[in-house]
Amino acid sequence: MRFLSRLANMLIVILFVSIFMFVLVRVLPGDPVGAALGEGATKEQIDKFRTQMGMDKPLEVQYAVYLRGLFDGHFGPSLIEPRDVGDIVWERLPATLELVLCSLMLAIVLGVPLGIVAATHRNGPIDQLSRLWSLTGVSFPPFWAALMLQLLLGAALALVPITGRMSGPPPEHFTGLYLVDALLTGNLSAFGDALHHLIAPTLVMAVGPLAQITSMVRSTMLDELAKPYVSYNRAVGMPSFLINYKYALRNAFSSTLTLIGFLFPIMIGGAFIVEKVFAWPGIARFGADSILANDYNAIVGVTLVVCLFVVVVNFVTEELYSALDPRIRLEG
Amino acid sequence: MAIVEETAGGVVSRTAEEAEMAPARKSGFRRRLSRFLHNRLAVAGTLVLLFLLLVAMLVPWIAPYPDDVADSLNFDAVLAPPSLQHLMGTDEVGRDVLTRVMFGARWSLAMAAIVLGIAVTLGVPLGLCAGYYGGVLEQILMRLTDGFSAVPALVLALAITVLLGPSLLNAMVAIGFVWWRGFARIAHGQTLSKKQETYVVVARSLGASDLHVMFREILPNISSPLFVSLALNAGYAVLTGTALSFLGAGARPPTPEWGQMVASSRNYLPQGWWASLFPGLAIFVTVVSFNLLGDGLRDYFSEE
Repeated sequence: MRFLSRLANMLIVILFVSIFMFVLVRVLPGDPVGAALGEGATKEQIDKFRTQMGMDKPLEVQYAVYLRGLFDGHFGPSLIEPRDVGDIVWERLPATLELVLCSLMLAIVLGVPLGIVAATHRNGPIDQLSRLWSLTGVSFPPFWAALMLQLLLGAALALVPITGRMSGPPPEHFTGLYLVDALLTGNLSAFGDALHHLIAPTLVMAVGPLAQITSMVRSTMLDELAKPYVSYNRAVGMPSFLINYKYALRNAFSSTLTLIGFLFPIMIGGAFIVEKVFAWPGIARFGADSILANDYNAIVGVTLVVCLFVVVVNFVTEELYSALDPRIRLEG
Repeated sequence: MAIVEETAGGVVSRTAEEAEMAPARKSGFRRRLSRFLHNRLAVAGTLVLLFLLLVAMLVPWIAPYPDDVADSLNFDAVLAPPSLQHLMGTDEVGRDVLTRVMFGARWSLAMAAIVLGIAVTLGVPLGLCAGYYGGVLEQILMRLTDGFSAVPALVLALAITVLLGPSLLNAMVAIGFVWWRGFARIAHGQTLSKKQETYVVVARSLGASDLHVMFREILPNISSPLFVSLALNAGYAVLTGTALSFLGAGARPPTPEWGQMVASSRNYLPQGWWASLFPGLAIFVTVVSFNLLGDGLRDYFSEE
């Protein structure tokens, strides 16, 4: 029952976002028709275009048609790339997912141990650094961090490629995630190539999440280590690494999980900038370009897909969280 | 369990113990002030922000080349590296980068002020009403907040800015319009926790109007987390505003806005690195300072 009502809530949020964005792009003064036809369009051309696109009908009729199309997977034609927005998004989604997942993984793999060490060696040098990092790491403007990293790693040191996803041909298509596809087909040179291109954008995307995960794990661990059962276990002679890893780590994991739900939308937002700077062929770059070009079907489509991911990630992390911690019972 | 404070821009966590470091007993304000002053980093952040404010106010008189704020061209000194004449070098049309960075402080501080002004004006009353009245109104308002939170702030703000017509003012309005949800969440949660307090019940039983109870009784008592959140969100608002300008949706050349400056100088990388490095560094320092201030305010307001 609870599960169902949470699913229903999810649907309501998505429906709300679809209506909101649909109306927004049509009501605000931005001029999609002008953007599509260019400056010199005549009155007849504009009227013809509006009729073709169904834009002469009332808003609620337009929305009903749009919603009907969504069920068939049609998001409407894009203006900057003359194809259906759904096809473009489907094709570009793996690139963004690969980038976001790699950054998230990097942030977790580095952040969790760093937070644990900071907490178990409180006020030591690593702890001091991690606290400073948790305040500064979230403060980098991503576009600037990206440019400076390109400057440092790409231009000055010539270590990594600074734009694009691949230099050579991409691996055979299964998932669209190049790293996974390359492994599946045993294509090691493609794997290396993809990994090489991922380094710089992943680093930029992981900076903020890394700072937040580190500080979250650190403070959860400190709270946990101050509890009576830890003192008891110490007193009866349990080695401290066992206490740290057996008990405190479990709590660190569930707090990281909640954090991921918060971080995910921020990371997707960051991808809109990072993909633009690194010429990464994902949906975030397409989204940024389409918004800047007033491509109204693409704006609604990309926002909807992003919203769908955010809602699903939140749902999954909350469910996992309650599964990990039996004290938490989610309310309907 | 760590205390998680949700801000519109992110999550900040700290231990319960750190949130209530209790120094020697002194009267309320002085005890709090000494706790704030004890946090060296917070003091440093506050000083940097005061310095920025001073620069923003006095810049026409103290900038080394005040004419470089506009479209002036100086082809003798295009992309000159940092030197004694130009401490931060010159940009692609020979303007002094330091001068423009100084003028940029105005736009970023204005960005923070306007965004937060709009966000608080929209979000706090919504959150108060949702928490105070409960029932269907609460359901609707909080679902609305959920809906707004499901689209990344940057994406929604970018879309609204472009649809309104790309300009710095529209970017500020758009970000403010997106930013209210964090304040609504905080106000809602806090109101729920204060609703049953004695002073609220007494005021209501004495016949005070709902408006009086919400804005005169509850609001003053939930203001501390809102102040902390204001400082932390100011930094994120500056980050988002400069990002919109970088993408070309906010400030337009020749406005000396930091994000816009990075965008127009990026084509001259890697040779003219100083023209991109310093405006970005200014953003970073400003955002860090706001975060440090927020951290200090949390110490200041924390209850024993």
